[in-house]
Amino acid sequence: MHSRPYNLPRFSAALICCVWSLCATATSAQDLNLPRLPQVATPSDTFTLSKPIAITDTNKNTQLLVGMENGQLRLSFPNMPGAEAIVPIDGDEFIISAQVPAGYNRLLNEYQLGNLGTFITGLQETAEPLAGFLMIPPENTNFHSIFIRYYEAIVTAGRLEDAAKLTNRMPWGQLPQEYIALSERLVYRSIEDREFQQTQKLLSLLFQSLTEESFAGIAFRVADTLRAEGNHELAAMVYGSLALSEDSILRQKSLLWAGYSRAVSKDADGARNILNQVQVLERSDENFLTYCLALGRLGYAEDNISDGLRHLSRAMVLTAVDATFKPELYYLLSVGYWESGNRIAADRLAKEFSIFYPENPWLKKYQADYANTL
Amino acid sequence: MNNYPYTRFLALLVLIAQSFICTSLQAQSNLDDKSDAQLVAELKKRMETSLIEARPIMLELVERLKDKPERESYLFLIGLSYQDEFAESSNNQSLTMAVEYYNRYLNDFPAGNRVDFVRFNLAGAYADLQNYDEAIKFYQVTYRRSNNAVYRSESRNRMASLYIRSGQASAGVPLFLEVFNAALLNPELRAQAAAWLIQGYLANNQSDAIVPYLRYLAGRYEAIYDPAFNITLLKSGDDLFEKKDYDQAILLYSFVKGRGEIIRFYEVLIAELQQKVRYVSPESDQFIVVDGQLKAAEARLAAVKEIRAYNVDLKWRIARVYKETKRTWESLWAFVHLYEDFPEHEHVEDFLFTAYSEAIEIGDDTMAEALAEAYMAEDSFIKYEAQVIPGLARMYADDRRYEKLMKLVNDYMQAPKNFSVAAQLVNVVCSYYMVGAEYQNVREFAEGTRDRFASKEPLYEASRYWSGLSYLLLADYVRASNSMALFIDAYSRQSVFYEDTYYRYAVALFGEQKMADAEAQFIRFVDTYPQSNLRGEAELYVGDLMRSRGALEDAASRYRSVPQFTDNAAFIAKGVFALAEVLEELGQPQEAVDELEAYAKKYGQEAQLSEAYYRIGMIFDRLGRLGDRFQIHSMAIKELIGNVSGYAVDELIRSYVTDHGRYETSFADSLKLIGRLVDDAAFRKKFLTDRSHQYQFMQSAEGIYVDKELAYLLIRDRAFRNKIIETEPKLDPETGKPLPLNDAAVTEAMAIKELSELEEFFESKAASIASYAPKLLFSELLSTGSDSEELIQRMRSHMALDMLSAETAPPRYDWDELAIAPPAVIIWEAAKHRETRPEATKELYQIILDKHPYSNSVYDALLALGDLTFDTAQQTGVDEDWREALRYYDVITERFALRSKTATAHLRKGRILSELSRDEEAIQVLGQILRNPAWKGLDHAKAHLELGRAYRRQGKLDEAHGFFERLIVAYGGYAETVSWAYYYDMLTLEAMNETESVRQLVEEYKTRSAVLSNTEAYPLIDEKYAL
Repeated sequence: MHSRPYNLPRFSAALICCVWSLCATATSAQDLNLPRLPQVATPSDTFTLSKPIAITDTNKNTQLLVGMENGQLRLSFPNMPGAEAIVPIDGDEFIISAQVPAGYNRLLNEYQLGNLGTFITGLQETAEPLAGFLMIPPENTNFHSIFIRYYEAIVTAGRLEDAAKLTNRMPWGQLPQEYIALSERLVYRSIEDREFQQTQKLLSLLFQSLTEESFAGIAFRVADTLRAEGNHELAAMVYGSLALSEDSILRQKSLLWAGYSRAVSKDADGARNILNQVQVLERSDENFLTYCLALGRLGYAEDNISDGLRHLSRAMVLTAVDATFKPELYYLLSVGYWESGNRIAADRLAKEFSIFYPENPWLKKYQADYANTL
Repeated sequence: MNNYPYTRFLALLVLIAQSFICTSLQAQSNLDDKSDAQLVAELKKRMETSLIEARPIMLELVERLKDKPERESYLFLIGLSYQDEFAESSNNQSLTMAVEYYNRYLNDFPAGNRVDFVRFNLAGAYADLQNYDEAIKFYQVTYRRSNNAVYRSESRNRMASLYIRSGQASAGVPLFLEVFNAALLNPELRAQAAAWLIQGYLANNQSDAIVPYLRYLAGRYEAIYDPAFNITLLKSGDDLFEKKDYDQAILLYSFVKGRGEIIRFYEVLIAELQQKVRYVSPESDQFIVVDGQLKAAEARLAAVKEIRAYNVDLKWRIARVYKETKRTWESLWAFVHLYEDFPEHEHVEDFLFTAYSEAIEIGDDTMAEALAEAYMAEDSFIKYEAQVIPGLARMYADDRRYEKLMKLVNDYMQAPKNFSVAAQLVNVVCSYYMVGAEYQNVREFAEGTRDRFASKEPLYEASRYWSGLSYLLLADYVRASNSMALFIDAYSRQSVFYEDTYYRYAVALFGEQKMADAEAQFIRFVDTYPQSNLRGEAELYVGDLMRSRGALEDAASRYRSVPQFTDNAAFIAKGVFALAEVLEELGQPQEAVDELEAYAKKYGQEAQLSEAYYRIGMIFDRLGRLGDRFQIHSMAIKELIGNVSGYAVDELIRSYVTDHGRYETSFADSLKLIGRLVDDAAFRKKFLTDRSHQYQFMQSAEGIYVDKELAYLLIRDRAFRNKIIETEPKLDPETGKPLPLNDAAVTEAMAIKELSELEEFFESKAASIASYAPKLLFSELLSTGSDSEELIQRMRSHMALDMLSAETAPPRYDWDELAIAPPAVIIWEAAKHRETRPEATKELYQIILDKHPYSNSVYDALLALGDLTFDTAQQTGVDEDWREALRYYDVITERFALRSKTATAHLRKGRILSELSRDEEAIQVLGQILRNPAWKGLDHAKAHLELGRAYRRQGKLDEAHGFFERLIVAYGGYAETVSWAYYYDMLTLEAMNETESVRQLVEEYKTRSAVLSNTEAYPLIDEKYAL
């Protein structure tokens, strides 16, 4: 088996023929036994609150929100004990408002000033019960405006456990983009705190709840960070899960990253097996960069530094400075130059690396491993 | 770039301004005639359409309201109206008026309600007038004094951008730092401030100071896409690049956005801002900001569209930085992408060639080849042909891709544009052939280009060199030396081939056996090129030549010098071996042994140990120290027998078995002879005194193997013979009785005593080798080598034991086992199958060619294969069979021309070529035999015969007769060959109608019939010419 060194679309087809064979996808991603994110329980749309929430309806009448049943609201009426109504959440003219706590404006001011502790304490009782009702469209309720600030505050404050508990109750499949951005921050926070179990749970929940596109939108960046922190196993689960996608481009990208991860674990045969599922890509292909990265990393796993350098250098010149995997690329390429005996290039690259990403774990790893004089 | 009109976005303030207008004014149709109320009403009406149209009313009102506070709003609005007018007309006069009214406002109402607004607009007007100092001054006041956050931040930001715009980026650094520090929670502004700071520091030549801010340049922030900023980065990067500060240069280049990226960014931004401005209340401060952003973005988009695309320059610079900083892999791809992305660029050929050069630098042959082929595919690319074409040819040659190589070369050679390139191609092709030892192909190719391109230098020079070298390698020494002499004459030491030719010329002379000339040329070479890599080998030749003329001391000195001038293990070994021989010749055998032992010790496993031990043993042998000889040989065999690729051990084994057997027989027969001489007085007398009996005995089976030393003593050594031939007692003539012997007489007892001493001597000799009996040695090695891992030892032991037997031994190993056997064992075993399974045996010989290409057995294998196929062809007479045989002889005559001891292969080749009716080629090959003095004698005789036959077939009867006649005259001793020569000469002369000559020849033949009557041709001649 030859590796596919590069593609030069304007060059002869003969070159293409002599390189990485275009194995038909005889083995599906399913058969590759890639690790996947484990199943976790997702929040139910039927539940009862331990303590009902006082709300006002469209007509400014006060009612009690008791819980949900099959995605519809269960309301009770203070003046009619025992009576309950089931109300759809997205009916025309349907408006439901939670009562804000006393001094809400003062709390918001605290929030603006960055006094998150005060804000969280003051809003906790009001905001937390709303987590299960966030499937109500934002235009039909003030729940979101109250809750999202609270959620952002606990994420920002790094209250990982509280945030995770809330996250588990939130209907992620129906939440607007702002929440997803916050969930990504929460995941990063868990990685930063090296609470990888929590990271795994969050990712599993998001994988099960979000659309594939939404999840993929954050998952590859998160996986880059996981690799930077040395957790290749969890990164591999992300890739393994997405490798089952029906979307061919997404599946391809996931397989490439899965192959990359396998190469990192020094299982060169396994990596090649995975990468053989991906056809030869050209520069114009969407996943070409990832393709170069994966083949480059495979080269290293096979102790073929030259092959590794060939692909990684191509990825390097094609990657913008703000790509999340760029630091890792700097690391790998510096290592490659070093190992191939080109110390001048290794030092130059490492110097640039330290300027661009002075705090990055990959830089620290390079400095530790290669004791250079940066 | 930042020069967007500040006034235009303020037109919206008309609505705000209307609210300030005093409502007590009266409307009038003529301004002078109208009351204040009318003017105010008129003003309101006109302001709905245009502030400019309303200005005359405002001027009138200002005039009327002298010293009154109401004037404040009109002064402000008049300023605005002039700014609006500037926006429409771009007439600086309008701005000057605006400045004048704003200044009047500030003078008259320093604490006016709109003082921030006025200062802000005044700064904008100054900015549009390019009076940046004044602009900055008023923004500064606004920034420091205003209570309105929007004015403060906008003033600060505009002031900062003015520092950049006015070329005072350096002076702006303190302000930029303020903005940066205030922007910690505003990533957009932080990016902007970072961009300003970078520009400020770069303007101040503080490129190191920018580093902490670079990381803020990631993201979709307008500051990062600002065309001016990007151009600053690019230019600063260029400055640093020119100063060879590549690290900093690439830092800046890395952040430069391409023109297309910037355009795309602003198109999206403008669309977003257009949408946003629709939802912002025109009366809000926010509107001022958003509208300003929109106008600025539109201005920047327009500006960037005016810029020439700089992407290629940027990418080129980056690629050059990679190249300069030895980041070769990135450089390679950067140039590949430049080539791919900018096919119309004027430097695209340079891009591709640089990429190719980088691939060569890295040693990535596949990539280099792809790039070279891409280069070749571009018809217009010629600038780097001289590097690319030979480079590509070398890659093909290195990978042994003959067809591709020859296609490239032949295409170019059809009409070479550059004879230097063509010369390099000749070198590549000939080197290619050399690797495969295809010397005939070297010759044909080089002769072809030499003849086609006479005087086309340097192509002609290369072709002459290679053709000369090919003659030498094909052992065509006469041609080689002629050709090389001409080369040396035609060129000087400037020629890259001169040194080699100067050396090879000496070798050719040596081949011609022009020893004195050769020696002189070798010495000239050594003197001319004392540092040459060829010097070691040259010293060897000089040593050989000196030795051949008896200058042994000088020869020894030359041989000793060989290791100083070469690292080549083969030459070093040859030097040592030759030195040992010379020392022995000089009567210093122990020194010879010392040299050989020192060599084995110094070079260890790198040494030719088998050969060295063999030679040491043979010196002992010649000294009569047979025990020592077999001891060292047996030790060497034990040590080296398991190494499959230690080919020389096979020769050691062969000589051990043969010589030991010979000595054993010789000593046994010698002792037997001595025993008879001791025991049998009659025999002793007859043997010692009857020369005829003695001769017959020594030629008989009993005597033929008798030790030569003994034979000499018994037959020629008078002194010794005198001691063992009994003195015959003289008879008393009177009594007839024997007279007493005198003191000098030899008695039987004395003779027997001498012979007994001799017997003891030979017994001791026999005893000295008895313990080294090959059977003993190899049986032991066979038994200890029974493990599968020691199969090689077992095989060689078997071979040795087989050699001991007079009977043909049965086959020992199957084909699979022989596949891993040493080549000598394969040859040995193959011989057992050759008669019965010729086709299968070929496989065995092929194994040697495939697996042991550097063993001496290759020659044997090729000869065997040639012979087998020759036999087949003789039986079938089919052309294809002849051609198959020819292929083997071609290889032998090409690769082993210098090593062949006989001309058998050449003769057979000549014969095959004749059978294939390729007489011209046959003549060529046979002529080669005649030009090799080493093959004088029978081989030359046979070559004459075959040449005559070939010419005869061609109808060239004169030439044919010439060869037959020379053979008859010069090689009369070779009866069989000469007899055929007579036969064919008779036929030839007959065909030439030379009847008398035929008759004379027949008569001559008859006179030699005693010798020739047993030859194959005799009956044919007898039948035709009735001998």
